[in-house]
Amino acid sequence: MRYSAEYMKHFSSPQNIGEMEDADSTADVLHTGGGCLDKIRIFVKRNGDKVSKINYQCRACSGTIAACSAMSEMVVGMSLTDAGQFQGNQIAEFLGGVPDKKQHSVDLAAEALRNAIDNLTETS
Amino acid sequence: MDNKTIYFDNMDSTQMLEPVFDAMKPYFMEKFGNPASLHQFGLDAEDAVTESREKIAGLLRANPEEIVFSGSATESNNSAIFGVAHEAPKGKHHLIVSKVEHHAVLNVMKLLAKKGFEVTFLNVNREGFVDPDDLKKAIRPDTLLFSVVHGNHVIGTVQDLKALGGVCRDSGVLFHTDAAQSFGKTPINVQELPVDLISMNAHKMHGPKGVGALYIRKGVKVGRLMEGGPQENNRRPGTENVPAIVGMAKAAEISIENLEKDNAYMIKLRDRLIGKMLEIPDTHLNGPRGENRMPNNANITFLYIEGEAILMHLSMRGVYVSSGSACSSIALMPSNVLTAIGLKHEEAHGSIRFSFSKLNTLDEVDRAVDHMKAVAEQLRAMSAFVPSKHSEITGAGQTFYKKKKNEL
Repeated sequence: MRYSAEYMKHFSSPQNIGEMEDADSTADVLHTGGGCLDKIRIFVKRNGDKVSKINYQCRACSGTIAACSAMSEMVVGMSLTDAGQFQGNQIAEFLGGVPDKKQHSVDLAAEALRNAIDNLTETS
Repeated sequence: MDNKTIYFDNMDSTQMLEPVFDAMKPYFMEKFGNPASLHQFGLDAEDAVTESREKIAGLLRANPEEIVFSGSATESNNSAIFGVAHEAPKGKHHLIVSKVEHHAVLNVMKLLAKKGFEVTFLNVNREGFVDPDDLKKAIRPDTLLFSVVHGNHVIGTVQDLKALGGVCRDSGVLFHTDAAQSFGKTPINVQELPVDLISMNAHKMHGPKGVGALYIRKGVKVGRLMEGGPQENNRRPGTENVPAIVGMAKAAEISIENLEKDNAYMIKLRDRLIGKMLEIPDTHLNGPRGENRMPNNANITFLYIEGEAILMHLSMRGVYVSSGSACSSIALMPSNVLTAIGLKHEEAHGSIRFSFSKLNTLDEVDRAVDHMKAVAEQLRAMSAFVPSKHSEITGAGQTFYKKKKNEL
């Protein structure tokens, strides 16, 4: 399977990269399945019961970079409840599908978000 | 290829040379006969295969009947190891192999281990060399065969076949080498080298894909993997791929005729690239320096960034390389070669192999370095995990840990 135009767009020009000084929550995730060691640090800003901004940093392959970038656009305005249940397949669909070998990327990005939301809920 | 393209993945495959293509052409549409046929078309095809076999044998200083054409180096590796195992004398059920092999050897060994053979996987040193003393210690009275890759496909290490083969010869152990990368780039003379089986291919030396060869020293018993006709002196059934065999012989001839000149040129490219890449902060070279490194291989680790992402960015810039990153493979496992030489998984992930041919130029090296500098900078800028910001994360399986913002 070829990488979609959307995948390549988010990989080559990833959006919302970098630290967020006023984040309400943050989480780190590490993929250790198989031998992959992709890492993501995610920052979440809320506005009431909605997600208002996502930033992230990562040491990761193209799939995880693209997944983080896509997710950072997808979840803005989403309710915290929905964001807390966010799944990798939603990112895959947004990207127009990902090859099997990049499923770990979308799953890891979604896991990062869920954990940051979980952390937010715990501390709010 | 346009003049902006920089193809540095010549250990994966090379561009075919015009004279090789020209040599092959008649055997597609004019002399298209089956070498087994008795009429003129068959005889023409048979002559082509015979001449090609004589050429390859001559280049190795072997006898033509010691050369068996195959479909690839992978097939040759399978034929050599399975074939020897198939004919194993009673009481010889121990095999030895290095840990830096191609999967075409490693996976054969793993399968034989499941089928009742005992296999010793030999360690290598930081540069990827097998120590002949380690081999000597690993050999037992029941050892049948030792196999090692001659020119390493990842880090370019060229093993000392004379020393390793000498140990095998002294102990009555058969010696196989996978020369998929080294044939045509390193002189191999079977009159001088104590090697019993050599796997070769064509497409790493500007020849066609889908063809390989196996040298089998006279007297070595190798069972055949497939059943069928009597082709290849009863050793490999199936109609020979005549155009590809002709192309392989032509490519080998050109490579070996120009070996010294081409190697000197590629070494210039290699060493310039290594020198300039290592000027990028937080990088290191994998594999040895100097004459025991393949002339066409450079393998560099770029710390704190991921190889597949590097590869993809370089590809978008028209620079084509390969990576030892886990994310480059479906299994998500890093290169076995890089972990065998002691690299941590994270280091293996950030490794890139640049591999050259005589068709590359110094200007391409300089431009590739510039591209790589930009890519490393770009990817490191988005990483939270460069040393100044580094935060250890541990976990098992696909898992995580989380910290509140004020703890980060």
